[in-house]
Amino acid sequence: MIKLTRIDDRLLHGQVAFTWTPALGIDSLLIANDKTAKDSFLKLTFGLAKPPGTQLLIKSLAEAAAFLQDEKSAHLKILLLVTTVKEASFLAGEVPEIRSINFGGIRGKEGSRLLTKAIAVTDGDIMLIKEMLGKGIELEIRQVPTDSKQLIEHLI
Amino acid sequence: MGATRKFLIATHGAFAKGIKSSLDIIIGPMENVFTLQAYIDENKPIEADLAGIMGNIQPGEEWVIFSDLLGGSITNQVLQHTVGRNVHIVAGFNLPVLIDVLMADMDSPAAEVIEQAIIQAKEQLVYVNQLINQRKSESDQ
Repeated sequence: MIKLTRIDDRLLHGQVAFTWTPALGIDSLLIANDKTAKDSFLKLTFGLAKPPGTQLLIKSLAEAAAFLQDEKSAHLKILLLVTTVKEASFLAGEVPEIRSINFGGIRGKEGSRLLTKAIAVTDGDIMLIKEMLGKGIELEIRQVPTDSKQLIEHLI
Repeated sequence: MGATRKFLIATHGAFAKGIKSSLDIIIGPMENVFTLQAYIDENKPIEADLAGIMGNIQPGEEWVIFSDLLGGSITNQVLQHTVGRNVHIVAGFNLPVLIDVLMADMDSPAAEVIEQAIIQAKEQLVYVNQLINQRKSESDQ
């Protein structure tokens, strides 16, 4: 089962490895990102970042969607990581189990604006956010598990 | 004379400048020690800072980079910027390993210096209470 779906443009890093993974008892980290899945050096880098006692899976978005709906993944405690709102929205569309999405970190870029100090979104992101809210998916901002949830619907 | 050795301490938050201040006290100020402090301004990527430092590496320079956490984004990004360059990366550093590497003879190969310094630094990380109890029970015998 998916314990957390997180948007974080750094993917697997300190906050994820040292706080979320133990707090949720994660045994499988799943990076769903086409670029990373094709880049053997990035995969090697994230392999070094993997917390002990967990397995790291790196898949394209389409492969990740199939994997999450396969009953072979049902017994795993999965932390699903993506880099963008677009990727999260794609997976939420494919995988009905995703009913809540954590916004962990999206750095600013051209044409984006800050919702909080750690989350920057574009107009395109806002459209996808509204779509997901319309489907009743919870969208919340927390960087680490001890933060209290800030609901995106109150910030847009 | 080998390559000019330069050092970068790269951390989450203000740790880098903090430990640099400790080094200045213990071994005295040194040239060629640089710091990079990430995410103090939350939404600013560190790529630009890192690329600024790494982009200026001159031929004949050798870098030792100390990063705070293996598995942290800083180590990840440092790795991605330094592939194929004359750069050594030490993750999870502490003050003893910094002192050993910075004070080592610059003519000794960096790989050897770092390997030895890590062995020493691991010995420097101790639970002192337990150490004292061991010493006590040894002297009782």
